[in-house]
Amino acid sequence: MFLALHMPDGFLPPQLSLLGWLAALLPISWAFFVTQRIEDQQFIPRMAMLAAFVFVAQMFQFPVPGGSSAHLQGSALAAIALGAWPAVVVVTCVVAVQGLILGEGGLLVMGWNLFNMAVAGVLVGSSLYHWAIQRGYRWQSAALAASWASMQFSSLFACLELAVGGTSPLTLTLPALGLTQALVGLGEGLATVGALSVLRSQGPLEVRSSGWGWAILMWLTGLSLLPPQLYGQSPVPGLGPWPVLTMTLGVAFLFVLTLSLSHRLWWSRERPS
Amino acid sequence: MNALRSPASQLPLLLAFQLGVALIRPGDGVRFSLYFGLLLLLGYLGRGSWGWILRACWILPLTLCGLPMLFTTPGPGLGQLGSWTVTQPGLEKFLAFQARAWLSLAASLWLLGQHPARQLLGAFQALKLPWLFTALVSMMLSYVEVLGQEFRRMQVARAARSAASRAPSWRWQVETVGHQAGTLMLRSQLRAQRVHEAMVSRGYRGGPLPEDPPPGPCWWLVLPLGVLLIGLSQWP
Repeated sequence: MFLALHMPDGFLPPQLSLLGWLAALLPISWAFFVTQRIEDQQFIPRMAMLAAFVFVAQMFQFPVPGGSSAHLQGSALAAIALGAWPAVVVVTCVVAVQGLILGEGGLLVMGWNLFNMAVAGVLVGSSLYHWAIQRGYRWQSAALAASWASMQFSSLFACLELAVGGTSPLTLTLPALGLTQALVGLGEGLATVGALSVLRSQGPLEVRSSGWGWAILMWLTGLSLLPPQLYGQSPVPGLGPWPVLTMTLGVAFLFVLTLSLSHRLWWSRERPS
Repeated sequence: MNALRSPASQLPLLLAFQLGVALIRPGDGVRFSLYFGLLLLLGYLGRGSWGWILRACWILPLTLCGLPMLFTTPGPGLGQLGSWTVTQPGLEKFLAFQARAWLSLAASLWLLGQHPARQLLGAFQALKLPWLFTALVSMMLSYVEVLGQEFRRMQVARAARSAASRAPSWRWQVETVGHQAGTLMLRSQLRAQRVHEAMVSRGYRGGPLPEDPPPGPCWWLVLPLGVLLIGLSQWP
């Protein structure tokens, strides 16, 4: 059965759709610029293989009331296995192929679909994973929490866009998409840990972390705090910066909780010698 | 007309069509019908099957998420649904939302039905998208095909092993699926390495794939037609 995987056209007004392209193009162009300069010849086939895996993983989906579908995302897996900027390129290719060749997800709103999964999902996953690793957490805990948080941030942005575009109020999308993604996120985390352990069995993963991750995370959060009046009429009475800030903090709190629980799951903590 | 048959020309026109549809004001049924007529004309000219029209209808259940706008859009009331009032602007907005989503998806599906994926890849090259994008997408599609073949082979092996009189246990199934996913990843990684070695032996040294880009879009036809497609939603 065919079912739209990402936001289709018509869900957001054209002005907002074009704004999404502007928001996505800057980091994606930078990601292409950085990745094209990597001289490792084996890197592109490895990126393509991960892209194929993410492509297949994203096909497992569940329709959710509120205008979207919950599905595995693979952003954090790509970010941890390849580094932040190459992962942005990989997820961009996956989302673009789904939109351009399979007709899944609209072309006008592709800017926001790319922003949610390829930019926000990857950069949040990458920066949180490296933050946890630098503090001595086991890679399994870090990967599980980073994948979960990257899905949460992506769905939070999708909910905000649907609300700001006047399609679906946050009161409907946040519980529906947020709760489903929270559950799917746990599956995504386990799948990421499994896939990474397979990749690590082939050799150590080369860490290509980006120091810009946190800066961009702050930028993304700042973007979510913009008052909706800037984008157009909002259907949610009283939706201003504060409820959005509360939601963002809520996601951050849930992330810390997941990190702590997953850390307890593996119990021990690797201390740098 | 032949110049317009290439996917490199049709892709920008598709974008123009979708932008035009997105710009139609709610309640403007005439213009929605006009774009629908254009789509039917395309279907007739394409001479393919009409299955894309039905496939596009799968979007309609998803658009039900727009139901709240029936009640939240301010305006004169049309009727009561329980304790909520359906407003006229809300109904127009909701119907426009459904029509836009359907028309945009149907246009995409029409284009996809016209050309195989490889031709669309050529169109990306012709439209001067970054070489890394076209190289990655072309390799990714090959790997997806390989992953699919491997997966089918593993499914046959799994079915053969569980061919008992009663269904295997839930735990056995979960373990097997986990092993399958891991093996699939491992095999695709090995396959990627083999493909890379084959490419290197044929002279690949990184960078763009050495393929001749197909001819670009016929801009002198595409640009005025694109402006017309967008303008139809606004004139007069």
